[in-house]
Amino acid sequence: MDPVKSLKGTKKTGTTICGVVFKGGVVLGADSKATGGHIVMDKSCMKIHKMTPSIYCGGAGTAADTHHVTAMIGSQLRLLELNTGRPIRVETACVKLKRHLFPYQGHVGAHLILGGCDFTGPHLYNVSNHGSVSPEDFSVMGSGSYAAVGVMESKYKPDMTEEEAINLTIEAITAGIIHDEGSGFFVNYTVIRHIKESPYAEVSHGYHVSRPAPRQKKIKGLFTIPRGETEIMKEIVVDFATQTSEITIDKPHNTPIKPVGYMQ
Amino acid sequence: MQSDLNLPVDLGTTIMALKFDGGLLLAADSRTSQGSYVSNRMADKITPLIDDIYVCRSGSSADTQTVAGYARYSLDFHSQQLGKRPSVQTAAYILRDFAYQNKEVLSVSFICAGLDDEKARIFSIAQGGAIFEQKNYAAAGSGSTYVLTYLDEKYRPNMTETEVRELAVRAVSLAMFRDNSSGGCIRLCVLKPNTKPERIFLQGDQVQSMFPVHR
Repeated sequence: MDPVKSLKGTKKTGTTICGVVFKGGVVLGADSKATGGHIVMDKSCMKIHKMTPSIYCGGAGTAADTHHVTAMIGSQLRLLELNTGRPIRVETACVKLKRHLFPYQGHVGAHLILGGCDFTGPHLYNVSNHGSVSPEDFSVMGSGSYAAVGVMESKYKPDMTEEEAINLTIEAITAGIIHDEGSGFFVNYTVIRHIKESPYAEVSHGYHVSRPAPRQKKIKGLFTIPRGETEIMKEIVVDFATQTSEITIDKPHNTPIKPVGYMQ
Repeated sequence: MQSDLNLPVDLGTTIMALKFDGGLLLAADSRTSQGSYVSNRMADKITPLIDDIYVCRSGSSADTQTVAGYARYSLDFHSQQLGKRPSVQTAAYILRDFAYQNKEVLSVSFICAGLDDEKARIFSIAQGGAIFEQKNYAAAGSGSTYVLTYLDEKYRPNMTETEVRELAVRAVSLAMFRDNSSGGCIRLCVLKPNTKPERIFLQGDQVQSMFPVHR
């Protein structure tokens, strides 16, 4: 991978988004900080966009790109819904997104986690800005994903309840908020529950403000070393006036070093 | 190493196809990476094109998905006009033509394999669009370099399905051990005449770990 090449083009703005499939639905989560360079543009930004009433999309990358791509494809899906008279399948949304993104060869900076329910059940897809798609059971994206993925990988289990899935989402996004400078403030989450009749999805939104664990008090005075404690092995005195030098202390190398201060 | 989520999703891969007495086995690892970050550890690189014809994908994830999708559409259309299922050779050449005509912008390599009536056929399409029909087995992707000689040594024509399955699992495990870009789980696809393709997913202990236990 050419490091110079990756510096050009759209910059990734900070985000942590995630999605989890549970028994009977899917949860999408996101942080709420939007940055422009080093300035926080929006403290309560909504990064989970609605595509159809049963399909939602979390977006990382360039905020304008994620917002507009989701809205554009969402409107195409709405037309398809009206023309066919039935709710859209999540796979359809997926294919439309990747067919839009691939021709731009990655320059449309939309990294998306697509989640929703259709008559076949709950689905979660990862859509990259280059146009590749992968179905997943859980997914994290954005600059905070490195922090969130550890939480996800260790705590995810198949067939969770809705409450467990929401808690997992909150924990994963919180990890991103704490450890990534590009993510922050609070966690937004959207729960899409699978129901048997059309439109096959029931949506609810929520938010959570995380309180990070209290910081440990630093113990002072543990590492103070009194003056004169360090043993001098060799001392050379140089007189610049007379251009002479004298070795006043010269202990051999194998002299055992006296333990000092806290090392005792 | 470069860690940047703007990098394209890459299928650094180990994929292979092996003929056995009575059919064809396809095998692949399941890792996709973006630089040094593994973005999907359970990817499916064995994609169906039409009926008994499958393609193993390696290279850029977005590019291979798009080309395979185009080939699937093209084969479907072609089969309507032809009145029957096209041959494996047609499928492979459709993939090859697309890869060759767009070689400046695409980073793809495939193993296209399937059954023509009772006969198994394997085609290997390299980066840049060169196509080779392989007599007995083919391997591709970054991990294949580590196991090609292993396959050369261990493969014999007309092995049984069990033998060839053990060989493929062993080979992919070895490649996953040595190649950074291959890893995760092993996916298999068994194609036999007049039988529905069988998809097998091996994970955890079923993937042969190369780490020495008693040393």
